[in-house]
This record gives sequence, structure tokens and C-alpha cells, in this order.
Amino acid sequence: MSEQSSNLTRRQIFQMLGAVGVLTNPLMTPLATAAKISNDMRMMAAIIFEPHIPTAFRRALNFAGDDGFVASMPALLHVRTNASYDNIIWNTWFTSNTEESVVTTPQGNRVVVAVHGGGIFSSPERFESSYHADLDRSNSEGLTGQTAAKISAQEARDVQLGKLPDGTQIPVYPFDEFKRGIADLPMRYGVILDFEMARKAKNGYESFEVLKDEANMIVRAGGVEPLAAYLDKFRDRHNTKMMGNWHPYNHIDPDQPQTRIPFLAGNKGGVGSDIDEESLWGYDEEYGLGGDASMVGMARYVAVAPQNVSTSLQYLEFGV
Amino acid sequence: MGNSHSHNWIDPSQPQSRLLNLGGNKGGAGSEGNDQGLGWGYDADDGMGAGWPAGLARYVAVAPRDDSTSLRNLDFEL
Repeated sequence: MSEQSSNLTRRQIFQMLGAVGVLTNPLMTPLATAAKISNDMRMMAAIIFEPHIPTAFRRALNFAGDDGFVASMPALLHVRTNASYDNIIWNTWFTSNTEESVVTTPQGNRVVVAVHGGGIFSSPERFESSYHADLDRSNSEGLTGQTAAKISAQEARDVQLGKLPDGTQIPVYPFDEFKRGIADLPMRYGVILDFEMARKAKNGYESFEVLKDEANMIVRAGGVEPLAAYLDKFRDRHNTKMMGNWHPYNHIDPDQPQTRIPFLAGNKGGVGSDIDEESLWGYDEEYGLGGDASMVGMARYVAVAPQNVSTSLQYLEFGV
Repeated sequence: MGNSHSHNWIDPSQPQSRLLNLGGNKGGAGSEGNDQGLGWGYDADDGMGAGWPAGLARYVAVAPRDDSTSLRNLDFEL
């Protein structure tokens, strides 16, 4: 992502995304039609699916180019909040360009550092270096037994300070401050959450009222207000009472610095969104919002980039 | 030793395939039990299984090679 796009505020980007298009081509779904960079330029979104996370991420970054971005979890939830339930954004699952790292502060406190818009794992190569490491459990690199990606002590220190491997400096907000609200959030930012607070959240299906005040959810949604708006929209789809909210924090070794990518669940029609039905489990289960998925596997990103409408055939009339 | 399969939690009416995996780790640690606490994962010595979802793969490939035309086994030491 270019310096220019990383400096866009969340509000500016969401204004671009504001008029959520509802075209449903699964390969290139124009979600964003509001941004008039020039008369013929529009921010356009595309779904990038691959059975291998770094391959999908590489394609997504290529589509985004210097002036676009790969959608973070707050961006995905925002778009759902403003989209029709018929749109593909509601009817399948997505990988977010958001990461959650379990690290220890210099003072010895365990925390979760969430970064939206690209953090330690802001390059496909960083995923690949974890996969290609010796997977022996004593190795400080590679994957944990629970398939999170191990991160180095340096990476763990730097991310708390908002220092990212690509040289970008991002703001990192303490959760309490973040919960009160940050004016004009940038596209890339971090939030530090106490590990115990993150861990004590119910790992499973929970009522919408409880979820609206749940710390992991607030961070993943990008704030209290966008979370409430998303949960209301999710609830109203089938007038349900519960939604899934998942985290790995009760079954990991928090002394091992590690990172995961949250996934946004979804299936056609939003079937089974309020029940933990094991017979339906799998990639297409509507389990809500997950932070406990493997760092190895399939990925479906949304990449957004300016496109010149006048030179594209996408809106030409082919009907005879 | 571990012997894992997925046949108790799949829909057998759906024709489907899986690849078999051979467990292993350095020293063969924990090869007798599933109760490995936080040690389970890609490096668990879980015996033989067919339960892993899509993910990493480590194959062994075998092919004929003509040693007489290869430099692989030549002695380069001076």
C-alpha cells in the first residue's frame, strides 16, 4: 500500500465505499462506486480467492496497487452493514487484512495487539517464511502447535510501538481510549488489549447485547458504533438471538509471541448463524467472527483499487 | 500409536477423498498419546492419519537419475 493510501482516513475510505454497489459477479464485485477520483475513476472491489493464503494475498496486493488497499475486518463489516443481504459480501466467508498478535509488554504484561490494514503479516513473504521454517515445537520460528504463526521478539516489540516491517509507523491505541472513540481513524492502525480481557470473552455463540460490549468484537469492528451497527444488521437478517465470536486464548501458550488472521464467516443465505451445529462445520459455516483459524489454508480477500470506468467493459451493455 | 480417520464425522453420502499423512517429529516425542496439551499440531507424532484439512504438505519424490552424467556425487574437494 502506498504512503498516500495509508494516509487516507478511515472516514475517507468509507466515504468511497459508501454507496455499496450490489452487483454480484463473484470474481470482480464492484462494492465501491462512490469515489470520484476523477470523472471516470471509481474505487472498485474484487474478490480474490486461492487455496493458499500467501498466493491470495499476493494477488490481492497486486490488484490494490499503490493507490488501493486490501480490506481489513472493519472494512468488511462496514461494507456488510451497508449492503443488501443478497450481495455476495453476506453470502460467503472472507479473510481480513487484520491481524491479532499475542505478545508481552516490556513491563511483563500479556496483551493482544490488533493491527488493521497490514501489520507484521503485511507481505505474502512473511506468511511463507513461517511455513518454510522448521516446524519443530522448540523452534522460535514457524507455527505453533495450534497453527498460529510464531513471531520474533523484535516483531513483538515493534508492533506494540506501531513499527511495522515495511517501515511504516502506525498509531497504536490503548483499548480504553479506542473504546471511547478515535476521530478520523487512519486506514492502518493498532489497538492494544489486555490479554485477560480478551481471554475471558465467551468463545462461542453469544447474545447480540453482550457482543456489543465485548472487547475483541469492538476491536475487530473498528469501534463501538460500527460494531453495534453490524450486529443489528446481522441480527435482522433472520431475526436471530446469537452470533459466534471465537478466540484461541484459552488454549495457547501466551508466552510464545504469535499472530493470527481473523476470518469473517458466511454462507449462502446465512444458514445456521445462531447455532453451533457440528454437523455443519467447515469453511462455509456461518460461525460469526473467528480469530482462532489456522494461519495455513484457504483465503478469500477483498481488494479495492481505483479503476477507470471509461476504459472497462464491465458496464457495457452486451444484451442484443 | 495413533491411528486417525475422519469417518465418524463426515457425510458418507458425499463422495470425497483425503490424503493420508504420516506423523513425525524430532525424537518421536509424545507418540503414545493424544493428550499432548499445547504440543499438538503439525509436529505431533500422531502415527498415521487422514484427518488434517488442507494445509502444508511435505512429499517425498523419487525418480531415476543417471549417476554417470550427474555431478551430484563427484568429489570436488581439492
